[in-house]
Amino acid sequence: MTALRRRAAIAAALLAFAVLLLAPAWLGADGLHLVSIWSVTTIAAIGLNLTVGFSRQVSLAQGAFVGIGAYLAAVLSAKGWPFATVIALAGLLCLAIALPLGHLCQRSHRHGLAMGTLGFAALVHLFLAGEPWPPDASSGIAGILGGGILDGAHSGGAGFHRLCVLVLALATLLVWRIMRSPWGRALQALRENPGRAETLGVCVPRYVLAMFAIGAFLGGVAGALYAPLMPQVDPSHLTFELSVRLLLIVVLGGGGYLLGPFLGAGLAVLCTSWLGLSDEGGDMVLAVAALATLALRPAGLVALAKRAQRPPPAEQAP
Amino acid sequence: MQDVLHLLVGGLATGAIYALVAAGLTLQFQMTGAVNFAQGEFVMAPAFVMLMAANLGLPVWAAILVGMAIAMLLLGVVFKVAVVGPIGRHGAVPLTLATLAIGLFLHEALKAVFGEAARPMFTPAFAPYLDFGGISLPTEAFVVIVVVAVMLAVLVSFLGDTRTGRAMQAIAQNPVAARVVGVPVGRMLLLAFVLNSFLTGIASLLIGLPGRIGLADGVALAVASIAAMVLGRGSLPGAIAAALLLGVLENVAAPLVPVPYRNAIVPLVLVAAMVAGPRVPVGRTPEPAQ
Repeated sequence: MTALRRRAAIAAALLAFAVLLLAPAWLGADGLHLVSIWSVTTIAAIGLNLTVGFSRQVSLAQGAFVGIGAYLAAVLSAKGWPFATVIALAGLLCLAIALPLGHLCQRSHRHGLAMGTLGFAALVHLFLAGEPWPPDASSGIAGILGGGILDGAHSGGAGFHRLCVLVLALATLLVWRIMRSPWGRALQALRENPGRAETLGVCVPRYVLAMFAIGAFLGGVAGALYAPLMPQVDPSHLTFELSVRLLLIVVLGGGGYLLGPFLGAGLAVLCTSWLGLSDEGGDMVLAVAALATLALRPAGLVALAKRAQRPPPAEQAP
Repeated sequence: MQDVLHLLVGGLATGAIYALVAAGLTLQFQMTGAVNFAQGEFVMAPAFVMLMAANLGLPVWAAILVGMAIAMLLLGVVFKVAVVGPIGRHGAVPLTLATLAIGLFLHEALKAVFGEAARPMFTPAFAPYLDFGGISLPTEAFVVIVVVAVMLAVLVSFLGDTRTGRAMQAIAQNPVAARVVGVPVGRMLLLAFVLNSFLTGIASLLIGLPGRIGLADGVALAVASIAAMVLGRGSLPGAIAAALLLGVLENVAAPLVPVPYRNAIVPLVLVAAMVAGPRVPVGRTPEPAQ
């Protein structure tokens, strides 16, 4: 990618985020709520993309991390914690869970992460389904609806919308910086040819683990933001099926590309909201679209939007 | 004595169903290197097709035949031709992702048509208990154990003792070398997937024997069969033995665990198997040449 093109891409990204931040000026409450949901889904998908797209590993835990983040946000904001602290703690808790989980799952088998995280997601689901919701029945949901930034979050409040877009911008910046660091170069080598990367001295499991943990952090953050968006949300619904949905979103958008999760999440949100499909119908459309993508165009929607952003490997082509 | 035997026989019956499902899963894993995460829905879908056929007025035997035929056509032939063929050539990870997409599709389709509540399955007309000199044991458990034992014995002897079965094993060990020595790889893969859909079809009949069948059973079956495959280190006899153990363990441990967490036993075993499991790779680890 030439320097000019890179600057154009950065300018386009900044412009897009500015437009999103200013959206309350011209979007109604329903539209704002939809854009907030899209932002949160994209944050979770960006995190998963680190594992699926860049490390070429299947993780079924991302939905569980979102569920854990949502649950923690509900518990802590009911106790009156400031929401910024809650978001950070949700991310850090998921990071702390992901490190041992990812390490232990990886060492026995190449598909270990996929199978181990399936068991983990099932356990988290059982835990969240077994716990009463809201967790603290006395104050409950009212805690999530607390004043300040959370005001009217579930009905398209402008303040919470800006917070979601801001966190999305920060997550994008984080992943973009990672991709441009020497560390990210090693990751791209890993994505292109794992065998060769290993021969050149890239310690594959360590990179996969780091990506899995950073992805889990973003999943927890997304979960904390997701809880206030729903008037009544049952975190047990935020586990296994959400994991699969997020995986398909990454596949659809284009695994391993920065822009992929944005496109995939956009299409998924459009499927369920604007086409007026039921949850089941939206999931079925998403599944068929992901299958078609896998069969016909493994690079996903990004390949169609190539002119908007050149794929990262082109920078390294000899 | 009676209670212990009850738990043991019930556990073996549960384990036998796990073994049937895990055997098909392991077969697919050996042939393609991908884990079929839709395996649970592969068991649910035939059951619901059979129910639908019965509701249309077909006699039970005809409904079962129709269900099996549709399952083997869609989950065997069409799955191989439309999914495993085009996507499998990109590698094991895309194929694994594709099975997740299919699992979600089947799950949501079944949910949209039949709803999430458990439904009554065919209730067979035999005495509920068999009497063994004063000790009575549930008949359905014996039916399950006998059917599964026969099916798995036929499967193992087919894979080991026939030319076709050995050709499939050759693909499992090294698909490139198998192709070089003249094994028709595509046809063998097709056979493997049709075999798997036959096994899951039978499993869907057996799982309905106690009377009811619900969509939630699908995910539980997928987790159990994957746990059995991991514990069995990717070998067919290993997976079968592990599945039987898992079923017995689940039934014996169930009374000790509070009700909402009873379903946590199998996922816990899966996580424990990953944590404490062998460090050696399970099965072959194919990666397509770039």
